[in-house]
Amino acid sequence: MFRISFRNMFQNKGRSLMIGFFVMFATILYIVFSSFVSTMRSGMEDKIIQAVTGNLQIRPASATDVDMVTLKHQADSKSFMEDAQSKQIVSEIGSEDELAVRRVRFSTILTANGVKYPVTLVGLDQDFPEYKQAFKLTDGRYLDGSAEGETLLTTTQATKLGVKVGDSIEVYSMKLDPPAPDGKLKVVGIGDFEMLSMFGYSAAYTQLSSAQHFIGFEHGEVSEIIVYDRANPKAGDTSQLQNKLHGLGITASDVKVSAWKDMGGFIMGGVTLYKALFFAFIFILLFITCILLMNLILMIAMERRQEIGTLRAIGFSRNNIILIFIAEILLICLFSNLAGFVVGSGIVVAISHIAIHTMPPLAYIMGTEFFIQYHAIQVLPIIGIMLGIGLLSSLIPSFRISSLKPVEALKEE
Amino acid sequence: MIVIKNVTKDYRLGETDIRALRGINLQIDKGDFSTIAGASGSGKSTLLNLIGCLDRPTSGEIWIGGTQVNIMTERQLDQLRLRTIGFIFQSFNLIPVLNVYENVELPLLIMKEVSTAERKKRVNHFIEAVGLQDFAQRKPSELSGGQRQRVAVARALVTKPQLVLADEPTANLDSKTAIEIIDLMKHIRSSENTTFVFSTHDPKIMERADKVLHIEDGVIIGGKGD
Ligand SMILES: Nc1ncnc2c1ncn2[C@@H]1O[C@H](COP(=O)(O)OP(=O)(O)O)[C@@H](O)[C@H]1O
Ligand SMILES: [Mg+2]
Repeated sequence: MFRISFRNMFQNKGRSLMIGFFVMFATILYIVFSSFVSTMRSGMEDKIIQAVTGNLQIRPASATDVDMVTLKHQADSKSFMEDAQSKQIVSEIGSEDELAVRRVRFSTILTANGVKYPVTLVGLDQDFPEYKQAFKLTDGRYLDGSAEGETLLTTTQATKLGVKVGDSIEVYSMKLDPPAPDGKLKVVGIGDFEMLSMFGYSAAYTQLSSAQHFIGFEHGEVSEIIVYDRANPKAGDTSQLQNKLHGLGITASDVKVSAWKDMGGFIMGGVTLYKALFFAFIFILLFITCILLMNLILMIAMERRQEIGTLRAIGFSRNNIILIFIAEILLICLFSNLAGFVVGSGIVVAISHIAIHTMPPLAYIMGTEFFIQYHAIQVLPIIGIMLGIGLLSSLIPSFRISSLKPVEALKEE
Repeated sequence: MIVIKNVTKDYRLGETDIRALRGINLQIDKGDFSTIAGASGSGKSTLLNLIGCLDRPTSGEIWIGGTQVNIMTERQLDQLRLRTIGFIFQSFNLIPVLNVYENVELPLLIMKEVSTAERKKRVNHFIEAVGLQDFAQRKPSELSGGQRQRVAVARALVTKPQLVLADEPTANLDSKTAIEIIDLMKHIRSSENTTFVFSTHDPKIMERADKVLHIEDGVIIGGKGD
């Protein structure tokens, strides 16, 4: 019975090719776009991990998730880790693949030339490459790990404050009541957080001891320890680290272990934005494909009226007709979808070897240089989606044509 | 075989109703080779479509083989068209993408009770009966009009229907071929013991029928034969 579907598909080559072309085109678009968006998303996640969260966070038991998300760790909060404990943890869990960094992080105000600018001051206890991957310098140098009293500003911060590399800024101290300027930091570098600055991420790096001074930690306390997993950049499993800490006699009542994915909130808002962008695009693409296909298929159905009338007269039921017709459309969709899959994948794989350079303002969103990534698993759903679209858009035409009375279908125009 | 009682058929054309059949009464017996004869527009096609259950009458009753068909459901009519009735059309209505063998085989594909072996046997039997054994692999487009109508005859008969309906089966053929086709149908009628009803406006064709029913403006105005 489906022989008719198969033969018809080859018989009316023009029509089949037209449908096939749409399906193939939509498939290619899907694959290219979804690879692009997921590359962006993945890149954004990388930057969040590098600049903000690390893979895992070890924080005082009393810390809340909101602390991390809003980046507002207040000086008067009791959530800090003792110097000794934090040093013990760092030395015990640090390994070739895992880098543990002690940080002090709090909200404060920078001031220069009479301008005040609120930032999150982040004190780092050592020099390490991860934060440099997220924070790209446009001028000056990174922090000297063995010095103190230095800071890195974003271009926005530097512009607002009217400072350049070599200038000094004053920093409000949180231990004073009310907070007031209590010392200076020297601007050694100016740059931008790739992909993050557009989401209002406004942090300024400094050395740990300087941050401790301004927050008022006098005995080497720190806000948190973040752990980078160098073997697996997207790692986010807390259980292993928890076990390790447990072995050191440090339990959940002492510290809280969290993963970058759970930090949610506005930092991840950027990731969500990419997802939303992706789904909006897919919806529009599929909607248009569906409408186009439906029209084409309706035309085919009209052309086949006589043939369908004949089949009805011979004794084929409505359902037989619907099956034959839909089978034909699905066959076309399947073939062109597979072709589109191969072509689309080929395109993405081909350009994945080429570094794509971007200029501001695009660079803020996508980074200055990126490689598009291809993952077959991730674009595989398009095969199912396209068959679904084929089915959806052939349902109405086939129901319409098969519900004609046989005599109407047979009528010659 | 066929009993028709007071059948009328109205077509709606815009705002007005056209009465194509105006109270038809007739009876056709099993094994008859009858023709419905009349001028163009007299209602031949309308009547055959009603008998063939391709359409429903506006009023009246239609009985085929002892069952009243005008009150049957669509599903039942599908089955009736498949098993009881065979159709031959004026313009052959073969499926262009299928070859002769496949066209003839088509109705058997949805008759689940017919085995593959039986199907093959029947298809070959009827292709031979219409004299197309050497053309089985040809596409309809590679055949002459007469040959195409032979395929249609074989397709109509392959389900072994009790009734074969043909609406002006010879209208698209030259007169020599037309007579060949009618004679072929008549010959098969005797060997298969099938009831044949065909329509025509051609006097040379109608005289080959055993029974002629004349139709004019939607009414039967008498016939010869019986
Ligand atoms: N689908 C239709 N809609 C409206 N009028 C129709 C339709 N089919 C047939 N008729 C009208 O019904 C009458 C009978 O037509 P038909 O049965 O086709 O005659 P014949 O087959 O003898 O030429 C004609 O007047 C024709 O115009
Ligand atoms: Mg007619």
